[in-house]
Amino acid sequence: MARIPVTMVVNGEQVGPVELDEYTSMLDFLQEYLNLTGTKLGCGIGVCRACSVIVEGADGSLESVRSCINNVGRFDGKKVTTVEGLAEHNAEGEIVALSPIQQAFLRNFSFQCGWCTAGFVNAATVLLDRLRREPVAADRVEDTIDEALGEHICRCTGYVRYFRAVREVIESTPGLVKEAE
Amino acid sequence: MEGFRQDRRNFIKLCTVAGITLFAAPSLWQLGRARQAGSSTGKLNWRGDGPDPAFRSDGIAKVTGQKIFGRDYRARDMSDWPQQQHYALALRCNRVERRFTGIDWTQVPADSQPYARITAQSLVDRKLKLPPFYGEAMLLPEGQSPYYYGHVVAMLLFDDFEKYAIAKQALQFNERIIRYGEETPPVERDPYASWRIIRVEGKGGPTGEDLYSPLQDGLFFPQYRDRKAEWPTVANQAGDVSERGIYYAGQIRNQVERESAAGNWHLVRGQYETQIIDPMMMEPEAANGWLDSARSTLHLVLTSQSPQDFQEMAAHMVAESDFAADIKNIVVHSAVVGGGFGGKDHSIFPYYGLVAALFGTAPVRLANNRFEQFQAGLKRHPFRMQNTLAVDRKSGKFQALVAEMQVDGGGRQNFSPAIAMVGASAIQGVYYLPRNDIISVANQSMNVDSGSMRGFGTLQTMTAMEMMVNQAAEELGMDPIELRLRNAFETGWRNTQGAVPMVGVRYREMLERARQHPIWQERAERKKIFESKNPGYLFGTGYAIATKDYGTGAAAPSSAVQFDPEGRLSLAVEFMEMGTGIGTSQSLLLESVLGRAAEHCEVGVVDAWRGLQQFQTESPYTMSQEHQDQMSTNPLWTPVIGMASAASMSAYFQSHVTLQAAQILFQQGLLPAARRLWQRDNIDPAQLQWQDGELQLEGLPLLSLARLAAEAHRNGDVTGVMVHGFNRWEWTEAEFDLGGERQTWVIDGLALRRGGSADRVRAEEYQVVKRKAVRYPRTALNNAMVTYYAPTAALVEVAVNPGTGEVTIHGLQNYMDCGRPIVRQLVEGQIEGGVAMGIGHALYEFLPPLGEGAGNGSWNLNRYQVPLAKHVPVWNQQHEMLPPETDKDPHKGIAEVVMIPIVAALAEAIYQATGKRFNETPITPEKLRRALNPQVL
Repeated sequence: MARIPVTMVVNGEQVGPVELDEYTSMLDFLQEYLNLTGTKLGCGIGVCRACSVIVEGADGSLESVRSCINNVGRFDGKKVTTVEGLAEHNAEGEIVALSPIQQAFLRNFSFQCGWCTAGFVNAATVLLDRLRREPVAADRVEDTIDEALGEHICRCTGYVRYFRAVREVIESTPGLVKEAE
Repeated sequence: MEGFRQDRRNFIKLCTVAGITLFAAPSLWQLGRARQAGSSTGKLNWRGDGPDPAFRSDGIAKVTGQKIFGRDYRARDMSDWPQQQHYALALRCNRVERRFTGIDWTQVPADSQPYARITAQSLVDRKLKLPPFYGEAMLLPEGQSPYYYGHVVAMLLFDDFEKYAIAKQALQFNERIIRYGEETPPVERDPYASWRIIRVEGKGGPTGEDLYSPLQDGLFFPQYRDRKAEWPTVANQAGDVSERGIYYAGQIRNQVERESAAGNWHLVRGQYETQIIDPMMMEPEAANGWLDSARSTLHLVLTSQSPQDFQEMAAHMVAESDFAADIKNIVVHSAVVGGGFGGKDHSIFPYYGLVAALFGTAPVRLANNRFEQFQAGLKRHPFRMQNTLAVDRKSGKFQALVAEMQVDGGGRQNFSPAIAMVGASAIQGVYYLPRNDIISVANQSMNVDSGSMRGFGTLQTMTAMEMMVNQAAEELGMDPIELRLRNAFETGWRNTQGAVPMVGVRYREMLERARQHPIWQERAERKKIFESKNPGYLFGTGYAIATKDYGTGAAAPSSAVQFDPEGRLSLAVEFMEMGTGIGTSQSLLLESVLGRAAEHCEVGVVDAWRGLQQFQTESPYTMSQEHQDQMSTNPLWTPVIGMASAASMSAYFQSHVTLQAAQILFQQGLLPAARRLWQRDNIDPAQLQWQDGELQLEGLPLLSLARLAAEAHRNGDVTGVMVHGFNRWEWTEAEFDLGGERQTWVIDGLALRRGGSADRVRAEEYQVVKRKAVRYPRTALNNAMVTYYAPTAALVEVAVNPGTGEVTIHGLQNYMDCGRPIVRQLVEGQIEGGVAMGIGHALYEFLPPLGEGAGNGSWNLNRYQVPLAKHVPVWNQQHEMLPPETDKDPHKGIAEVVMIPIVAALAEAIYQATGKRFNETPITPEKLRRALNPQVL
């Protein structure tokens, strides 16, 4: 069993270098080593997407990555954002402003128990980032949401309010939607 | 996080059980929240400015990933706990047919050895036994065969995460770690319980005296032979309860055959089956426990829906063990529950966490991954029913229902007896039945045990009833909604148990609405149009209606409401937050009585209620009327002190006591202050109104809540009210001397606060007001079984791909009578979630029994299909909530009911599309494909 050194930026803070068993999942690393428990275990096998985190690519684009089936090595040298890193905090660490997706989920009463929320927040945030670069045709908004969030599992809400909230943000944010083709 | 040191009085003494003092720590989340400034004002204020709240009161914590769930907490998050976190791993049997002969410890990786190995012998050595509710053999002893799939044989404790993770990877699917010997016969036991509901209406019809019913005559029970129920056979109309029952049951069964043979009654007769379902709550169960030897205190952080019951049973378990000498106190730290659906109600899991903590040398965390949660978590009971519904051919009126249900409870009893009973009592759905003979038996099996999962037996039985009604309509050539209208139950009529429901029923109205809907009216035309536009696809429309009882027959909610001198309201309620938004809805309830929503609502409170100084004696379900009469003369006695949380219970039961407390607080606290400030001795409360947090009386200056509160505090008036209610299908009323007069309130316990400083509700600040008289509901109402109902209906149209068997929901219209909704968005969210769960039950979710099932440890979401967004009509479902009839309508319990009608509605829509009738769930694409293409394998 090999040990590997890992360095990354998590929610804007430098982490590592730290030596870990190479099979340590990113989810376990976040929870057991960094004490960031906002990223949730749902299935542990990459199906339910509750554990999704955001990874920033070299070109600044964002990607949603499942932290339960990807080991820490996959994130070495990367910038990672978890659900704890999306809101704005003041110097005292208090929340002062939420991201547009977080606000929309609140406004729409999108979640109930809240266990799958981090995954939805992150995947929706990544979707908005993509639409900034590649706007979607107005008549394809719902299909686009279905594709981006369709694999995420929620057991409480029936998805309706999550999807509605994302549509609301897409349609109200300038530049994300283009005319229907 | 703020400290939990005892010297700071942050632990609150609950009571002493078996010599061990139980403490409840303030809910973990609420302490975390105290640090979160900025959330009570401006954009981050949940209440907002409109009539509806801006968002859920727990919304910010959830959407920003704060530590709020029991599973989130590690040792380092707990003040005064050692930093080092240990980890526990449970080894579970994935087979049952052979003797367990020991553990091959060489399978544990050499560099990842546990420091403790807990086996059945370890439990015997330390005299640790499961609470009786859960049965025996917490860990399976060597030499015995597993009682059921997933039986735990040992627990291993590791002193760091890496060792634990490596060992778990090596052992979880390792076939050699548990050794098995020779084959043994399966473990068999008598059924857990049997019920029989026989009723025959009398000459007076639905509202008159019954010839026989459980409410009137009582219940009787079978004997067991060869593990099967054998009912008495002696029939005598003038005999005792069983002889009379058997007489009338025989009459019903004979009449059904006779009238059918004569061509008068049409019979729908068939076998109806449901599957094993996993609640699949998103947060798998976890426990973190620490035995603080220096302070003789055992701490536990849980994910339980029923922490109060755990705490009491855990105290007995410890007190009867060798650890009794080491443990003087048990502290339960409860948190927000990441979904429960009944799967975390009286689960056995926390007791394994407790044992791990007892043997640990530091805080120990036991946390199921999803494979383990499938293998060991409570399931929904599968029902196998043999049903006969008799319908008069001329009038279309239902004449009789004969049903025999076998309910598989799995390896441990848990709530199986209650589920078998509630399922049996619910099968009548929204219909009136003049005659019924319903048998329900809860059986032991080697399956993973089933518990109080959403539906509580009613989903299974009512779905069967709706399937029968749809079939009857088809066979009689009647419109299915018309047939339902002819048989709809009316307010004031007797149910299958002979009881009269307490809540007005609006089935007829709900049926008429669906009948007018275009999905129903135009269903033939829509089918024609769809199928011509989409060649090869089959289109069908289905309808079903259900009514869910809610309540337990021994509901015992508590609530406390108080204000500080600045007029800030705080509230404590007994129910846990499981996702339903109880903190939000209960806070909002105060507005109508006290002018503002609560600024602070503490949920899942267990400690404060000792301010009421109540005590209980026997089980409320079995106590005699004499015992109740005798005990109730003691003003501090109550049938039940506390209750478990259930999503469907909070709206009605918790709201009732919250409103009672608020009304007493208004009358005893704010009204006297208003009289003084306005200098008016006579104020008619009916003339008073709240407007934006200010009290109005025509012609007088407005009084803000802050001003009234300050005056009440200054004058030593009542500033807080704590109440306890008891409901056995009726509420208890009691009389109290308040403000110099005798008053009746719908509660059985009361305590008041005068002055006071705490923002949180603290028992120490409250003084009991002893009741002067009390009227508890008669114990005979225990035979009534259920009398509260909330109906819901679903109208659904589907498109079936006959090549693949895939069903797409084309349109969906729900109808719901939830009484007066407290927060509309929360109710709608419950409806949408219930619909999704119902779709899963109807079409996708399935666990096979026994060796192929969840207990073998190989199940996860790659095989267990829960509904995804594509399976649910995310963009095209509509709900109609029946407008409340009056502003006095109750806040009805819902949550689980909405998942019920969609199941039978889908089965009927599939039948209308394909001509294939299914009496069992789920109707998976594979099953449908095979049915439609019998020539293809």
